[in-house]
Amino acid sequence: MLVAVLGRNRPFAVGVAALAFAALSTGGEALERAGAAREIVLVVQAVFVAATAVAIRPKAVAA
Amino acid sequence: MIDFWETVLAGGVRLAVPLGLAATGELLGERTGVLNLGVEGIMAMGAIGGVLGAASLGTTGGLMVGMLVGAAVGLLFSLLTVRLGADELICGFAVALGGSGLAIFLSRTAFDSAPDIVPFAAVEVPGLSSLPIVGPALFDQPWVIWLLPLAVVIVSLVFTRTRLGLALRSAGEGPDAARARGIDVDRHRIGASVAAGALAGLGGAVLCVGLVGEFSDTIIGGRGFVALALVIAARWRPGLLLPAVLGVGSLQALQLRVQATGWGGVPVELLQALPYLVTLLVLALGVGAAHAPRALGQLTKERGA
Repeated sequence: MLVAVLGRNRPFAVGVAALAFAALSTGGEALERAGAAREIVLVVQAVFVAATAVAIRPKAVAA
Repeated sequence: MIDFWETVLAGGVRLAVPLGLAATGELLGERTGVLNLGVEGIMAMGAIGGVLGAASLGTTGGLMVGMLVGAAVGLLFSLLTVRLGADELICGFAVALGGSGLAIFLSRTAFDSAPDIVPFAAVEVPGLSSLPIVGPALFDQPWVIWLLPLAVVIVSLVFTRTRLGLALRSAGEGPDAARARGIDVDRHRIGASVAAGALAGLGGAVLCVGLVGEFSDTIIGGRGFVALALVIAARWRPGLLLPAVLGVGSLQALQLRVQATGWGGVPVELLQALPYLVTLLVLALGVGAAHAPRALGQLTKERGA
Protein backbone atom coordinates (compact mmCIF):
# COMPACT_ATOMS: atom_id res chain seq x y z
CA MET A 1 0.00 0.00 0.00
CA LEU A 2 2.77 2.40 0.92
CA VAL A 3 4.49 1.60 -2.35
CA ALA A 4 1.30 2.50 -4.21
CA VAL A 5 1.20 5.83 -2.40
CA LEU A 6 4.80 6.50 -3.26
CA GLY A 7 4.14 5.73 -6.92
CA ARG A 8 1.09 8.00 -6.82
CA ASN A 9 -1.03 5.23 -8.35
CA ARG A 10 0.74 5.49 -11.69
CA PRO A 11 1.79 2.03 -12.90
CA PHE A 12 5.28 2.98 -14.03
CA ALA A 13 6.01 5.08 -10.96
CA VAL A 14 4.76 2.29 -8.72
CA GLY A 15 7.34 0.02 -10.33
CA VAL A 16 10.09 2.51 -9.58
CA ALA A 17 8.85 2.93 -6.01
CA ALA A 18 8.73 -0.82 -5.47
CA LEU A 19 12.28 -1.10 -6.77
CA ALA A 20 13.41 1.66 -4.40
CA PHE A 21 11.75 -0.01 -1.42
CA ALA A 22 13.23 -3.37 -2.33
CA ALA A 23 16.66 -1.80 -2.74
CA LEU A 24 16.35 -0.22 0.69
CA SER A 25 15.31 -3.51 2.30
CA THR A 26 18.15 -5.39 0.69
CA GLY A 27 20.54 -2.62 1.66
CA GLY A 28 19.29 -3.04 5.20
CA GLU A 29 20.53 -6.60 5.24
CA ALA A 30 23.95 -5.41 4.10
CA LEU A 31 23.85 -2.83 6.90
CA GLU A 32 23.10 -5.60 9.34
CA ARG A 33 26.15 -7.53 8.15
CA ALA A 34 28.21 -4.37 8.52
CA GLY A 35 27.14 -4.22 12.13
CA ALA A 36 24.48 -1.50 12.00
CA ALA A 37 20.81 -2.00 12.77
CA ARG A 38 18.65 -2.61 9.72
CA GLU A 39 15.63 -0.88 11.26
CA ILE A 40 16.95 2.50 10.11
CA VAL A 41 15.65 1.45 6.69
CA LEU A 42 12.10 1.56 8.04
CA VAL A 43 12.71 5.13 9.11
CA VAL A 44 13.96 6.11 5.66
CA GLN A 45 10.92 4.46 4.07
CA ALA A 46 8.60 6.27 6.48
CA VAL A 47 10.20 9.60 5.62
CA PHE A 48 9.74 8.86 1.91
CA VAL A 49 6.09 8.09 2.44
CA ALA A 50 5.44 11.13 4.62
CA ALA A 51 7.19 13.38 2.15
CA THR A 52 5.07 11.97 -0.67
CA ALA A 53 1.94 12.45 1.42
CA VAL A 54 2.79 16.11 1.74
CA ALA A 55 3.70 16.40 -1.92
CA ILE A 56 0.41 14.93 -3.17
CA ARG A 57 -1.88 16.83 -0.82
CA PRO A 58 -4.93 18.50 -2.36
CA LYS A 59 -3.99 21.77 -3.93
CA ALA A 60 -6.52 24.09 -2.35
CA VAL A 61 -4.97 24.34 1.09
CA ALA A 62 -6.35 27.21 3.10
CA ALA A 63 -3.69 29.74 3.92
CA MET B 1 -9.16 -21.14 42.12
CA ILE B 2 -9.75 -17.67 43.59
CA ASP B 3 -5.98 -17.26 43.65
CA PHE B 4 -5.81 -17.99 39.94
CA TRP B 5 -8.38 -15.36 39.02
CA GLU B 6 -6.85 -12.84 41.40
CA THR B 7 -3.52 -13.22 39.63
CA VAL B 8 -5.16 -12.94 36.23
CA LEU B 9 -7.08 -9.81 37.17
CA ALA B 10 -4.03 -8.18 38.75
CA GLY B 11 -2.00 -8.93 35.61
CA GLY B 12 -4.89 -7.69 33.50
CA VAL B 13 -4.89 -4.33 35.25
CA ARG B 14 -1.15 -3.95 34.63
CA LEU B 15 -1.52 -4.85 30.95
CA ALA B 16 -4.51 -2.55 30.58
CA VAL B 17 -2.73 0.58 31.77
CA PRO B 18 -0.30 1.19 28.84
CA LEU B 19 -3.00 0.18 26.38
CA GLY B 20 -5.56 2.38 28.08
CA LEU B 21 -3.33 5.45 28.21
CA ALA B 22 -2.68 5.18 24.48
CA ALA B 23 -6.38 4.60 23.77
CA THR B 24 -7.38 7.60 25.90
CA GLY B 25 -5.02 9.77 23.89
CA GLU B 26 -6.32 8.45 20.61
CA LEU B 27 -9.90 9.04 21.78
CA LEU B 28 -9.03 12.63 22.62
CA GLY B 29 -7.53 13.17 19.17
CA GLU B 30 -10.34 11.43 17.29
CA ARG B 31 -13.00 13.44 19.08
CA THR B 32 -11.42 16.55 17.53
CA GLY B 33 -11.58 14.89 14.11
CA VAL B 34 -7.99 13.73 13.77
CA LEU B 35 -7.47 10.04 13.04
CA ASN B 36 -3.93 9.05 13.96
CA LEU B 37 -3.11 5.50 12.92
CA GLY B 38 0.44 5.93 14.20
CA VAL B 39 -0.25 5.10 17.86
CA GLU B 40 1.92 2.01 17.58
CA GLY B 41 4.94 4.07 16.51
CA ILE B 42 4.32 6.74 19.13
CA MET B 43 4.14 4.12 21.88
CA ALA B 44 7.41 2.62 20.67
CA MET B 45 9.08 6.04 20.60
CA GLY B 46 7.74 6.82 24.08
CA ALA B 47 9.03 3.47 25.28
CA ILE B 48 12.56 3.91 23.96
CA GLY B 49 12.59 7.56 25.05
CA GLY B 50 11.50 6.42 28.48
CA VAL B 51 14.19 3.76 28.67
CA LEU B 52 16.93 6.16 27.57
CA GLY B 53 15.61 8.82 29.95
CA ALA B 54 15.34 6.39 32.83
CA ALA B 55 18.98 5.38 32.36
CA SER B 56 20.08 8.85 33.42
CA LEU B 57 17.09 10.40 35.19
CA GLY B 58 15.63 7.52 37.10
CA THR B 59 12.34 5.74 36.62
CA THR B 60 9.99 8.69 37.07
CA GLY B 61 12.23 10.86 34.88
CA GLY B 62 11.98 8.17 32.22
CA LEU B 63 8.21 8.43 32.22
CA MET B 64 8.47 12.20 31.71
CA VAL B 65 10.92 11.77 28.83
CA GLY B 66 8.68 9.16 27.21
CA MET B 67 5.76 11.52 27.48
CA LEU B 68 7.71 14.41 25.93
CA VAL B 69 8.93 12.23 23.06
CA GLY B 70 5.36 11.09 22.44
CA ALA B 71 4.16 14.69 22.45
CA ALA B 72 6.85 15.62 19.94
CA VAL B 73 5.78 12.83 17.57
CA GLY B 74 2.15 13.88 18.02
CA LEU B 75 3.12 17.44 17.12
CA LEU B 76 4.99 16.25 14.02
CA PHE B 77 1.98 14.22 12.91
CA SER B 78 -0.46 17.09 13.41
CA LEU B 79 1.77 19.56 11.59
CA LEU B 80 1.95 17.21 8.60
CA THR B 81 -1.78 16.56 8.53
CA VAL B 82 -3.54 19.59 10.00
CA ARG B 83 -1.15 22.32 8.87
CA LEU B 84 0.30 20.91 5.66
CA GLY B 85 -2.83 18.98 4.72
CA ALA B 86 -1.13 15.66 4.03
CA ASP B 87 -3.33 12.55 4.04
CA GLU B 88 -3.86 11.47 7.65
CA LEU B 89 -4.09 7.74 6.91
CA ILE B 90 -0.81 7.70 4.99
CA CYS B 91 0.95 9.84 7.58
CA GLY B 92 -0.43 7.61 10.31
CA PHE B 93 1.08 4.56 8.64
CA ALA B 94 4.35 6.42 8.19
CA VAL B 95 4.44 7.24 11.90
CA ALA B 96 3.61 3.65 12.87
CA LEU B 97 6.33 2.29 10.57
CA GLY B 98 8.98 4.93 11.19
CA GLY B 99 8.35 5.21 14.93
CA SER B 100 8.66 1.47 15.51
CA GLY B 101 11.72 1.31 13.25
CA LEU B 102 13.46 4.26 14.87
CA ALA B 103 12.75 2.93 18.36
CA ILE B 104 14.33 -0.45 17.53
CA PHE B 105 17.22 1.26 15.75
CA LEU B 106 17.90 3.45 18.78
CA SER B 107 17.72 0.49 21.13
CA ARG B 108 20.35 -1.31 19.03
CA THR B 109 22.71 1.63 18.73
CA ALA B 110 22.29 3.58 21.94
CA PHE B 111 23.50 1.00 24.42
CA ASP B 112 25.62 -2.12 24.28
CA SER B 113 24.01 -3.70 27.27
CA ALA B 114 20.52 -2.87 28.44
CA PRO B 115 20.52 -0.11 31.05
CA ASP B 116 19.65 -1.03 34.57
CA ILE B 117 16.13 0.19 35.13
CA VAL B 118 14.27 -0.47 38.31
CA PRO B 119 10.54 -0.70 37.54
CA PHE B 120 8.15 0.61 40.17
CA ALA B 121 7.51 -1.79 43.00
CA ALA B 122 4.02 -2.69 44.06
CA VAL B 123 2.61 -0.54 46.83
CA GLU B 124 0.37 -2.39 49.20
CA VAL B 125 -2.46 -0.31 50.57
CA PRO B 126 -3.01 -1.54 54.12
CA GLY B 127 -6.43 -3.03 54.65
CA LEU B 128 -7.76 -2.56 51.14
CA SER B 129 -5.25 -4.97 49.63
CA SER B 130 -6.73 -7.87 51.54
CA LEU B 131 -10.13 -7.44 49.91
CA PRO B 132 -11.05 -10.49 47.85
CA ILE B 133 -10.48 -10.27 44.07
CA VAL B 134 -10.16 -6.47 43.76
CA GLY B 135 -7.66 -6.17 46.60
CA PRO B 136 -4.61 -7.56 44.81
CA ALA B 137 -5.82 -6.19 41.46
CA LEU B 138 -6.06 -2.56 42.58
CA PHE B 139 -4.37 -2.09 45.94
CA ASP B 140 -1.21 -4.16 45.62
CA GLN B 141 0.13 -2.58 42.43
CA PRO B 142 2.75 -0.08 41.31
CA TRP B 143 1.36 3.44 41.62
CA VAL B 144 1.53 3.98 37.84
CA ILE B 145 -1.67 2.01 37.30
CA TRP B 146 -3.57 4.99 38.75
CA LEU B 147 -2.40 7.13 35.83
CA LEU B 148 -5.01 5.46 33.63
CA PRO B 149 -8.14 6.34 35.64
CA LEU B 150 -6.64 9.78 36.20
CA ALA B 151 -6.19 10.35 32.47
CA VAL B 152 -9.69 9.05 31.69
CA VAL B 153 -11.29 11.26 34.33
CA ILE B 154 -9.40 14.36 33.20
CA VAL B 155 -10.24 13.82 29.51
CA SER B 156 -13.84 13.11 30.39
CA LEU B 157 -14.19 16.19 32.60
CA VAL B 158 -12.52 18.43 30.04
CA PHE B 159 -14.93 17.20 27.38
CA THR B 160 -18.10 17.56 29.42
CA ARG B 161 -17.45 20.39 31.83
CA THR B 162 -15.25 22.95 30.14
CA ARG B 163 -15.47 25.49 27.37
CA LEU B 164 -12.25 24.04 25.95
CA GLY B 165 -13.91 20.61 25.78
CA LEU B 166 -16.84 22.06 23.90
CA ALA B 167 -14.48 23.68 21.40
CA LEU B 168 -12.54 20.41 21.01
CA ARG B 169 -15.69 18.40 20.43
CA SER B 170 -17.06 20.94 17.98
CA ALA B 171 -13.83 20.59 15.97
CA GLY B 172 -14.68 16.90 15.65
CA GLU B 173 -18.41 17.15 15.05
CA GLY B 174 -18.86 20.28 12.99
CA PRO B 175 -15.63 22.00 12.10
CA ASP B 176 -17.33 24.42 9.70
CA ALA B 177 -19.78 25.57 12.34
CA ALA B 178 -16.94 25.80 14.83
CA ARG B 179 -14.97 28.00 12.43
CA ALA B 180 -18.03 30.18 11.93
CA ARG B 181 -18.19 30.64 15.69
CA GLY B 182 -14.61 31.91 15.62
CA ILE B 183 -12.99 28.77 17.06
CA ASP B 184 -9.49 28.11 15.74
CA VAL B 185 -10.18 24.51 14.75
CA ASP B 186 -6.63 23.83 13.55
CA ARG B 187 -5.09 24.99 16.78
CA HIS B 188 -7.43 22.85 18.88
CA ARG B 189 -6.68 19.82 16.72
CA ILE B 190 -2.94 20.33 16.96
CA GLY B 191 -3.19 20.76 20.71
CA ALA B 192 -5.26 17.59 21.02
CA SER B 193 -2.79 15.67 18.84
CA VAL B 194 0.10 16.76 21.04
CA ALA B 195 -1.79 15.66 24.16
CA ALA B 196 -2.72 12.40 22.45
CA GLY B 197 0.92 11.80 21.54
CA ALA B 198 1.96 12.53 25.11
CA LEU B 199 -0.51 9.95 26.41
CA ALA B 200 0.58 7.31 23.89
CA GLY B 201 4.23 8.02 24.69
CA LEU B 202 3.44 7.78 28.38
CA GLY B 203 1.71 4.46 27.72
CA GLY B 204 4.82 3.08 26.03
CA ALA B 205 7.05 4.42 28.79
CA VAL B 206 4.83 3.04 31.55
CA LEU B 207 5.01 -0.37 29.90
CA CYS B 208 8.78 -0.48 29.38
CA VAL B 209 10.04 1.65 32.26
CA GLY B 210 7.38 1.51 34.93
CA LEU B 211 6.29 -2.12 34.67
CA VAL B 212 8.80 -4.24 32.75
CA GLY B 213 12.11 -2.44 33.13
CA GLU B 214 13.48 -2.97 29.63
CA PHE B 215 12.85 -2.36 25.95
CA SER B 216 12.62 -5.22 23.49
CA ASP B 217 11.85 -5.19 19.77
CA THR B 218 8.47 -6.78 20.14
CA ILE B 219 7.35 -5.22 23.40
CA ILE B 220 4.78 -2.88 21.87
CA GLY B 221 3.63 -5.82 19.75
CA GLY B 222 0.55 -4.31 18.15
CA ARG B 223 -0.78 -2.60 21.28
CA GLY B 224 -1.09 0.63 19.34
CA PHE B 225 -3.43 -0.99 16.87
CA VAL B 226 -5.46 -2.66 19.61
CA ALA B 227 -5.80 0.79 21.19
CA LEU B 228 -7.26 2.07 17.92
CA ALA B 229 -9.82 -0.71 17.88
CA LEU B 230 -10.72 -0.14 21.52
CA VAL B 231 -11.55 3.51 20.86
CA ILE B 232 -14.13 2.31 18.35
CA ALA B 233 -15.38 -0.44 20.66
CA ALA B 234 -15.82 2.18 23.40
CA ARG B 235 -17.86 4.27 20.98
CA TRP B 236 -15.54 7.23 21.46
CA ARG B 237 -16.69 7.56 25.07
CA PRO B 238 -14.05 7.79 27.82
CA GLY B 239 -16.36 6.06 30.30
CA LEU B 240 -16.64 2.94 28.15
CA LEU B 241 -12.92 2.86 27.50
CA LEU B 242 -12.04 1.66 31.00
CA PRO B 243 -14.09 -1.56 30.89
CA ALA B 244 -12.91 -2.16 27.31
CA VAL B 245 -9.20 -1.98 28.14
CA LEU B 246 -9.67 -3.91 31.37
CA GLY B 247 -11.44 -6.65 29.42
CA VAL B 248 -8.72 -6.96 26.81
CA GLY B 249 -5.98 -6.64 29.43
CA SER B 250 -7.51 -9.43 31.49
CA LEU B 251 -7.82 -11.69 28.46
CA GLN B 252 -4.14 -11.12 27.71
CA ALA B 253 -3.25 -11.86 31.32
CA LEU B 254 -5.39 -15.00 31.27
CA GLN B 255 -3.58 -16.11 28.15
CA LEU B 256 -0.16 -15.58 29.75
CA ARG B 257 -1.23 -17.30 32.94
CA VAL B 258 -2.64 -20.34 31.16
CA GLN B 259 0.46 -20.56 29.05
CA ALA B 260 2.54 -20.67 32.21
CA THR B 261 0.44 -23.13 34.16
CA GLY B 262 -1.20 -25.21 31.46
CA TRP B 263 -4.94 -25.62 31.39
CA GLY B 264 -6.50 -28.76 30.05
CA GLY B 265 -6.20 -29.24 26.33
CA VAL B 266 -6.85 -25.64 25.28
CA PRO B 267 -4.37 -24.77 22.54
CA VAL B 268 -2.15 -21.83 23.42
CA GLU B 269 -2.54 -20.24 20.01
CA LEU B 270 -6.29 -20.01 20.49
CA LEU B 271 -5.81 -18.24 23.80
CA GLN B 272 -3.27 -15.88 22.28
CA ALA B 273 -5.76 -14.91 19.63
CA LEU B 274 -8.55 -14.50 22.16
CA PRO B 275 -8.09 -10.78 22.98
CA TYR B 276 -8.08 -9.96 19.29
CA LEU B 277 -11.03 -12.21 18.52
CA VAL B 278 -13.08 -10.59 21.27
CA THR B 279 -12.11 -7.13 20.03
CA LEU B 280 -13.20 -8.10 16.52
CA LEU B 281 -16.45 -9.53 17.82
CA VAL B 282 -17.24 -6.40 19.80
CA LEU B 283 -16.46 -4.29 16.78
CA ALA B 284 -18.62 -6.44 14.54
CA LEU B 285 -21.59 -6.58 16.88
CA GLY B 286 -21.29 -3.38 18.79
CA VAL B 287 -21.08 -0.33 16.67
CA GLY B 288 -21.42 1.20 13.29
CA ALA B 289 -19.87 4.46 12.29
CA ALA B 290 -22.95 6.06 13.85
CA HIS B 291 -21.10 6.88 17.05
CA ALA B 292 -18.03 8.30 15.40
CA PRO B 293 -17.30 12.01 15.56
CA ARG B 294 -18.82 13.39 12.39
CA ALA B 295 -15.68 15.02 11.03
CA LEU B 296 -13.44 12.01 11.72
CA GLY B 297 -11.29 11.07 8.75
CA GLN B 298 -12.50 14.07 6.75
CA LEU B 299 -9.34 16.10 7.22
CA THR B 300 -8.15 15.72 3.64
CA LYS B 301 -11.59 16.32 2.22
CA GLU B 302 -12.00 19.45 4.32
CA ARG B 303 -8.75 20.75 2.96
CA GLY B 304 -9.70 20.06 -0.62
CA ALA B 305 -13.02 21.86 -0.30
